Amino acid sequence: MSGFLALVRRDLALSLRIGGGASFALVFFLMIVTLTPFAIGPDLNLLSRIAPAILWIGAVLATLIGLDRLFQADAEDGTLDLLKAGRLPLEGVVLAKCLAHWLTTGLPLALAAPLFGLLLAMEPAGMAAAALSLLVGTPALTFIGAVGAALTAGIRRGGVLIAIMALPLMIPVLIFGVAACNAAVGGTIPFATPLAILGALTLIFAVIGVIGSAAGLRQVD
Amino acid sequence: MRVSGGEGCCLRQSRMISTLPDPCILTARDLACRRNERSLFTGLSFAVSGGSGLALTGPNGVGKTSLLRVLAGLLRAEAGTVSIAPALPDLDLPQRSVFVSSRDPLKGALTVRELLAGWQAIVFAGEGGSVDGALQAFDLAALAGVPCAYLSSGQRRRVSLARLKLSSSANRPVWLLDEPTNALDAAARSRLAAVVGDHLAAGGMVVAATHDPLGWPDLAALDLGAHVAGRQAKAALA
Repeated sequence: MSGFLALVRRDLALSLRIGGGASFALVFFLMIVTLTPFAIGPDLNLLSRIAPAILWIGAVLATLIGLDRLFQADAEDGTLDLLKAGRLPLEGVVLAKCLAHWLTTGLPLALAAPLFGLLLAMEPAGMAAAALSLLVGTPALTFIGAVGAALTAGIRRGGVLIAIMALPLMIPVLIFGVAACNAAVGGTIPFATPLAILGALTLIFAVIGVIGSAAGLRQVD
Repeated sequence: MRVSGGEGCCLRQSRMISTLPDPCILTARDLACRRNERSLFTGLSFAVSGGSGLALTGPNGVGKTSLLRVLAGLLRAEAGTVSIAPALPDLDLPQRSVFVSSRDPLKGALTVRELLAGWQAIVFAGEGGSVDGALQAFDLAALAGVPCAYLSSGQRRRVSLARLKLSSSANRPVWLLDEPTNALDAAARSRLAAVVGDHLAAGGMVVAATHDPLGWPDLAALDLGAHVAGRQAKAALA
């Protein structure tokens, strides 16, 4: 357990010091959100109606940033060999690295969502729902991406491959994330229903992602 | 064709001082390895007993690093087995050795002390090595607060080797070193020799791939060039 926490701490320190993960993803998210009103024009009703979709697409794309280096950096410099020789099972290694990635990518996105919702003329209830749905749903995005990152760890320029592999699998998360946001501001289904499905998706992908990534990393030699 | 390369290294049993409870032995039996459709070596058998070492030599590309990775449990051999006796419960092959590859797994943004403390907590948890001891053994105390990005290649190599002192010889009696003296100056080489000497004296084992004469005691030589699969096939055809 201490090895797990030490690995989370190490990855957090690395990503905060190098500045690659956390800040880039957030700025990229902001860019997507600010570009949309320029593209759509000054129709506030339309903007607030599609705001959840924009926030979620932004979150999905921003999550992909930094994913290509999730395991590749360690595979390149030999740290992966060292991790394989440790007492922490590879599944634990994957979980620790996913947790660190989510803490520097998904969590800041969820926390910034209400602020960015302002730019999209969202209602207060919609902003809260967007933040909550991103909080519940972004871990699933990280776990899905981790499988792609593990499979491309030994390949240079695997980033595009990760996007091609991971994006289709992210569609269910996107659907229920946006549905939860829409349910909060009206519609016929209660907010809790899509949110519960989103939580279930996160749990399912946590299992698949951890086991799948560990299996992928075992093939890297 | 079966070739045995390690008669010499079995001769010397562990010396007087032994901190390991039982004499250890690393055995490789009929190893064959294939990389990218190319067969590297076949029918390789040897044994290294506690307190002795093995120097792997041979031309570039002959499979020295691959053999070390097979011994470390990181690369699956095409055939054959590797075992380290006595077996310990719930420790597999990768957890029984320290493999220092020719790549230095350093993170530029972390200081030397942070990096070693990370290895100790993540990889060598509960094995009893201390970060200060590791820093001292390779004369790194003055560099402890320096980010790894600012180190020279010799200093990086020393940091890389410092993990040897974080491990416990009881858990990891086998040290697998790939070109350990690359980029090291004379002082660092003698420090490494002292660390390896202590390990051997405690009943540990060392397998080192090298092109330079290492000058370590109790080191038998294994020329991998003699086990090249292609050469044997050609000999059979002729």
